[in-house]
Amino acid sequence: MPPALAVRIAGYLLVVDGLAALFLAGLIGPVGLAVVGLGLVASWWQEPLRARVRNRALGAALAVAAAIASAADLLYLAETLLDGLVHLLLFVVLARLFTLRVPGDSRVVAFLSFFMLVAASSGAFGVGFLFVFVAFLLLSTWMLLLQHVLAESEPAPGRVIVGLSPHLAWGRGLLGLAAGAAAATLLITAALFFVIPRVGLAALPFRAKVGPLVTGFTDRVELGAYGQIETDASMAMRVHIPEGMGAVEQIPNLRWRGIVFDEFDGRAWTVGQPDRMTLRHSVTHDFRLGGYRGRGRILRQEFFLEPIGTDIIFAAPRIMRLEARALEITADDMGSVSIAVPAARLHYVVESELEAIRPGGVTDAWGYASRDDPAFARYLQLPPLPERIGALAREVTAGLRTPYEAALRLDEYLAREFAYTLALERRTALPPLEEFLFVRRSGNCEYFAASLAVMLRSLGVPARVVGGFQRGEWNPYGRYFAVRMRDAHSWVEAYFPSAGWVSFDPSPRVQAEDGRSTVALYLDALRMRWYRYVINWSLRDQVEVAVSVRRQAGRWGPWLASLREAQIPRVVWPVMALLAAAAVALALLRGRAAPAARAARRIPRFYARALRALARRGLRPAPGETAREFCARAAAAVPGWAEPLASLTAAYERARFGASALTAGEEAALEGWLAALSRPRAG
Amino acid sequence: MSRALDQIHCLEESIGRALVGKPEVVRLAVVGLLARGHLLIEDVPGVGKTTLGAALARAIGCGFQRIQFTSDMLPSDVLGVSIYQPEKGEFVFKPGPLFTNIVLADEINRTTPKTQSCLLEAMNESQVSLDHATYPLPRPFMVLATQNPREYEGTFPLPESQLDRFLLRIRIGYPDAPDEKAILRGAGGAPQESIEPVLSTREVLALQEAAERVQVEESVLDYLMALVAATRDSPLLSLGVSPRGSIALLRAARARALCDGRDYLVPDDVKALAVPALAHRVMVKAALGHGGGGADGEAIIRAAVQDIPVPR
Repeated sequence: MPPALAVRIAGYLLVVDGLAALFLAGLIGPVGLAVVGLGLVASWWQEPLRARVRNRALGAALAVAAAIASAADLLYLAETLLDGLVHLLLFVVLARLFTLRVPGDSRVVAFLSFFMLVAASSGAFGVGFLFVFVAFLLLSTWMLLLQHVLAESEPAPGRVIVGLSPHLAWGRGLLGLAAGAAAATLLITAALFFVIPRVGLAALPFRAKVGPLVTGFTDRVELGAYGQIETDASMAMRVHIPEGMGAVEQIPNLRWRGIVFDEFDGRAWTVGQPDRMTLRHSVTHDFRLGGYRGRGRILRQEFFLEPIGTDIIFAAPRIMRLEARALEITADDMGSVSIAVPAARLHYVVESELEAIRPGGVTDAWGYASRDDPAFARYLQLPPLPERIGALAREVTAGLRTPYEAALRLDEYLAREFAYTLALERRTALPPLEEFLFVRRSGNCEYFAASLAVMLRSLGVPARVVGGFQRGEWNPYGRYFAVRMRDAHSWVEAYFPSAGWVSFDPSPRVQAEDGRSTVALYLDALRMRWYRYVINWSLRDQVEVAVSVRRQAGRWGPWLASLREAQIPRVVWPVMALLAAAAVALALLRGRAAPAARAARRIPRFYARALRALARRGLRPAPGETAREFCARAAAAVPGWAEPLASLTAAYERARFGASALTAGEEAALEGWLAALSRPRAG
Repeated sequence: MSRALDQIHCLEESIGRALVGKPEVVRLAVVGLLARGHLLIEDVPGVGKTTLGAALARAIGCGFQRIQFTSDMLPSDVLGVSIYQPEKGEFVFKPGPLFTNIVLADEINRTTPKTQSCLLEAMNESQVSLDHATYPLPRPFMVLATQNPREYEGTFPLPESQLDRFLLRIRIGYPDAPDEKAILRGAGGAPQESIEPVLSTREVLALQEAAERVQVEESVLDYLMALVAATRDSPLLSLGVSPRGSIALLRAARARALCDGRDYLVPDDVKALAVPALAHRVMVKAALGHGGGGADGEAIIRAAVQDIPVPR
């Protein structure tokens, strides 16, 4: 098979493949298929036809008429915009097939058939599309190989392709090679995309133990334990908030709740009576942890955790739903959740109903909870404490009518009267809480939280201590909160029958803001995206992208519809006529310049490379300068170039104008000559 | 191909012995011969116009005639005449000096237009029509005309139609100082009589045929057309190059490619011959200079050649 014919056949097959795709997607009916098919068949014999119709102006006029018709079709005639685009695409394909001149033009046809496939992919869901798709892969690879071989053999038509017999080079052999190459490419890219970035996820169970173990998030936490990690600036997690959640960075009191403690022994908080249960995932691979109560706004959060060595799941309280790639999770009756599988902890999505307390909304009177009530006993438990702590609590809250007001008053009192510090050295032998409240009067968040919890319990208000993280630094480029280890935090939840568990954070700690540069923020956002869109890319994400594209397209729909219905002002027609005339004139002018453009395509590769090498050294041929004159000028500039460039010029002239093959000696010497031109001028 | 190249080198060397220090002029003369063209050698007296013509004629073993044109010359002095022979009772054609291979028409602008034009048919068709009979000229047939562009007294400048029939117009120019010194010493410039023929008539014809077989790539042809079109579109010229001119340029370029040992044309061939092959065919607008495509015509064509993009 002659090479040009093979390329042409490949181009036609690609168009047929694209047509099949469009047919499968229902974008073209049987009648349309027949019309385009006839056009395809007719275009195979286009050359004698073109020879008969040589009028350039006629061709240009036809093209302009077709362009106007397409615009009208796009705006008024076609059922949908996609139909209009498909019509236009089919017209362009046919037009191109009717004007094929050199084998390189088939490349354009192949490119257009790709768009046919893209258009069809919006509507083709059947298994037939799979075959069409595989055929496209195979054909396009064949086309690419053919084009490459053709381009390589272009400067010397008589040249034998090294390593391939001429028969093999164009016929079935190359098709087989293309099939192999397509399959291999598919496999390799699939492996590259799906396997390599995610190997790490599978390997995590082996690595998870290596990560720093966080002292604050175990079942028992000594007072002051967070003080150790609050100086650690390494990243703990990134919390991505999807679009459409409003101004997230302005939500007050946003914290990532982790573990909850109920039992205090005077020195450490523990999870005293854990009532843990295991939850299995639902059909949709998520876990339902609570219903919507209709009190606060719903916030969807996507967590990307660093391996920080805890099995706790962090999220804004109160978790309603959790999506994670785990078969089961463990939740206790205080609302802390953990996942045993390390890989599943690294990326999860939570939907929470945020806490919202209306001022004056909590009006429960004193005495709703007693130590005898088994439901409250654990939250009112107190170790033996010095009397003056209870006395302080009563003194601060004297005269207040409701426990909620008392809690607010204590919260405010602690934040006002005590200082926040990470310098936690002991000065006396007193119990730590007593030393904090009456001697040192400064401490970290745990001391504040423990003091509030103990004082509330001494007043008979059920309270518990929560360990988690502050919200972290907002990154507007990636729409996420960057949470560092030093954001580890501790606060209090108190129970009121009318409002449930309400958070209080007495520590006068300010959110650490780095004031990091835009570049740093952007780089960090990039890292998040890598996790999000490569490592954790899932089928669900793919569907979401498609849906969002469709939504965007839907937004344009009404605009286009209004465009269709709009009355076109009379002024537009003369303007369009003028534009058409200009297009015709341009086409004619370009037609005149065409020979030079055609010639430009045939410049042999090696000479083009030589010209590029010289251009890098500041030597470019003038438009009116012949190869020999340029060679002489370059040789005058750098005598070392004279010999290789003269040989190259002679070889170029013979290959370009003499249409005879380069000799074997020249082929062998080419690289040497080119290398000589690339050497520095001194050489 | 290499044999043809050897022959051409011998020829050039042979002529070069008579015309010292002007290899490019010798090359043009050989190009004219191989392209079956006629040459107009135009320059001031004493630079070797006649020497070049005579040397070329002697270097190929062909017939050679020199005609010194004067104002009282008649066409019959060039073409020949029919004489009544009483013993046969009929007119017999006595061929004139034109019936040979190489004709050196010295100072062609000194004779009357009548005599000048009698050369026209001979140059174009290689035949002479006289008294209802046509007499073919021998092959190869080449006219080497010389003229002095500086002298107008008693001359009849060649009309455009006749200028168009010359393939190339060659200017010799003064020799370089060292070459001239060598000539004065007597070292350069072998006497014309000492030049031995190096090519036979048949070999010249074979070379001419080889020149016609030189291939022309499409883009080079486009380049040539662009050059010719530029002379027709030029605002400085009142008369552009005729199709005969473009044919002449192509033929000359092919011959030059052969002289270079190639069987294909490169843009350099066209570019190098644009001035000698085209400059005498254009007319500069009257306001700009004298008619007939003098030195200004050359400058305009030379400028156009530099501007037109070369195919790559």
